[in-house]
Amino acid sequence: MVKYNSRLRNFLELLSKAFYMFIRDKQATIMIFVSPIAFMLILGFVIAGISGGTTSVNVKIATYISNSSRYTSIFNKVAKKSGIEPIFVKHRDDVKKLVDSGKAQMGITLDASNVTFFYNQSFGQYNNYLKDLQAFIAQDINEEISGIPMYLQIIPESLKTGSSLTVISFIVPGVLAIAIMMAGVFGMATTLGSYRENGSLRRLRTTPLNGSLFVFSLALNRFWSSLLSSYVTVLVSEWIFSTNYDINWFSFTLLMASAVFMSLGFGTVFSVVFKDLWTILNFSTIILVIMMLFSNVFYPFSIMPEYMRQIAHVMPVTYFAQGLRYTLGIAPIHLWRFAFINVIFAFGGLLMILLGGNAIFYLERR
Amino acid sequence: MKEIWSLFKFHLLSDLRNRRSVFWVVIFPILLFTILVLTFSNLGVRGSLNFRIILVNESKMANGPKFAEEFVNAFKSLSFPNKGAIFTLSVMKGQNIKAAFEKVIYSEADAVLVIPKDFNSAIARAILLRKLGIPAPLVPIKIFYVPNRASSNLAEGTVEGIIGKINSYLTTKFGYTLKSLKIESETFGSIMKSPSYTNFVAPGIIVIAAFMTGLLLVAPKLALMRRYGIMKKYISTPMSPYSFFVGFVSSRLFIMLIQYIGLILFSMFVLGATIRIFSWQAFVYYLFSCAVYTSIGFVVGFIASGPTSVGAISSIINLPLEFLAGIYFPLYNLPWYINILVYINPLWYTTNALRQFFGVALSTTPMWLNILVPGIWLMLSVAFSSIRRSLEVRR
Repeated sequence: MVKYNSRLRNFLELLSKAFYMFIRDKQATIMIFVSPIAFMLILGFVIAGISGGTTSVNVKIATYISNSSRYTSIFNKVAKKSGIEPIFVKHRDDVKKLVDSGKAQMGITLDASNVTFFYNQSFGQYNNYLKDLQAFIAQDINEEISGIPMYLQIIPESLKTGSSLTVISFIVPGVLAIAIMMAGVFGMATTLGSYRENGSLRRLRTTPLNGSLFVFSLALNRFWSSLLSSYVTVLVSEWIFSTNYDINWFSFTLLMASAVFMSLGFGTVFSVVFKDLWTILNFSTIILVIMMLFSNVFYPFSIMPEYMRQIAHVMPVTYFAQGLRYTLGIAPIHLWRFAFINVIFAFGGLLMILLGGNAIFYLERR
Repeated sequence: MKEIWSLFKFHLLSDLRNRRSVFWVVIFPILLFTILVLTFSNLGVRGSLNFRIILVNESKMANGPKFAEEFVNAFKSLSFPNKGAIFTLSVMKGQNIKAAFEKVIYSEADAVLVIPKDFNSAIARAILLRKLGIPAPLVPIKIFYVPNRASSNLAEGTVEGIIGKINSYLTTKFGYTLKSLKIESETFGSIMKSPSYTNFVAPGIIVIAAFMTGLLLVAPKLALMRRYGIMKKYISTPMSPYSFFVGFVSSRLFIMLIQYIGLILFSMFVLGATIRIFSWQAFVYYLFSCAVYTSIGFVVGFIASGPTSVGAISSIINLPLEFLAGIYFPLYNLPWYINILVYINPLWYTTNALRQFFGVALSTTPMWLNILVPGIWLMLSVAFSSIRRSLEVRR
């Protein structure tokens, strides 16, 4: 009993020491509170900008129709059918101006006998998607001007999956997941790496202090701050992007708690495996870049090549983003799946922190 | 001259021996380049697309024409594992429609296509009436999807396209001629015809590499030298500040030059880029951008209290500047307050200029601006660093 009491006292002392050290560390505070918000704002706006808007996928087409009013009504019908937004202009040159300036993603001119589509080269790879759209628009225009009766009519019906599912509301959880993971992994790796580099770990090794308890106390301080940061980031996104999430705060807190533990666990493991701070940071950067690009955070599985799909399925951030979309009320997942994600994240993280803490002290023997 | 050479050699070798520097200067740009090309070259292109579509056949089997069956077979022939397919089709019976909806809601499928109960008779009626010249209503086919889930939205568009093709096929089969306007396309700002993602991103990676070298091989060294008073010690030696500056800066520029050549060769021979490598304008402009990034490195080195704080400053400014330079994604429809950051971002101008000089695409910003804005950064950075340095010397 006495042994346990002394351990608890040790742990509480460590906790309060880690707390004061953390709040005095301006860099860590900036990293945890400012970087997720900055990251979310920039990526959110950039990706929503490509999609044409923050509320829905919206391809704006600068449209010039030479002189026939019939063509205007035909094009309006086609636009309604294809879900594009025409911006009608009075002069042919205005098409170029709008496409060049990025106010329209593509342009179109309709004459009596031909249709010309215009693209902006700087749009890069996204022109491929727009060229697919060109085929649909051209087919629709041909059908409309032929005036031939069709047989089949497709009627799109929306399935309701949650509240206000907009482009930006779909992006924000992914960006938030990446930002929180980044803050957790980097935060833990930087703290432990610095302790090792300035010789603190070696000195602590000579005391009766338990490695797991020491690392756990550091993790707990990172934990509450990351949790707080995730609330702030979601509220900022609500304010800036008007996402109107139907947040289930209990599930949100649960998922954030388990995911923060997991990222802190990863940070601990990286600090165990690699000796110096720079290597830890380099490795963490690469892993996070891979996680960001090879997961379904920004793009769906359906458009990924097979090898990417397989990598995405083993990326924790994929499940983190999935869980977040559920807790924010925009995409449902089965309850057993949500519970499973939480259990794996929390226990995995805890295990990595505790075992990593022991290992990091043990390795200081050498 | 000898002093300059010694300092050049010293700084160059110390960085080449340092595996951290080698990582950021050589390995990281190559890794980033490879990962980006692997990701975006194959994203959303034919061969990668695989939408999960559920077809629910509610039509009743009856004697007579089996249009529903033909419709299902037509869809099956366009789905995986057939060649050129872009979707996987699962066919369900009418009574399972709720299960199908659930799959879409829970992201296990992208769209549900429903063939209505009276499909066979409705088609037969439509054909007959049209043959007699009597207008007949269109036969509705419902598609259920989640509009703002990208995969579901794209799947819906794909199905609409296929239905359109089936419509055209039916109209031509029954003797109508579909008018056909001449379709043309033109790309503004094109130099290279349909540049691949590798070509699109290569100039940006070169810019990032130079920027990171400026930031990570100048700023931490400078911060370290200031912290340990090495700069002050230099003053007490016969070495002139000019020799120190030229030796140090030229060693950075030399590394940036190696990076330039290495990345170009890697992009061409490993990733298959087809950029204009012998563009002298690209080379001259690159040297100019190296000067800009080196000067920014000096500013960060003078602001930071030590190498660790350089790391923190770098990680804060690095990501926003890269994403707001249009290197990975084109920049469109940004709000004005984010656009301000884009307009003052030197990486944006250098990426635009290098894209034009490498023959990928015309710069989206005028060339004079591509020189002016980074030039202003260069002047401000040099002025700031000089003032800070002279203040430190006086202390």
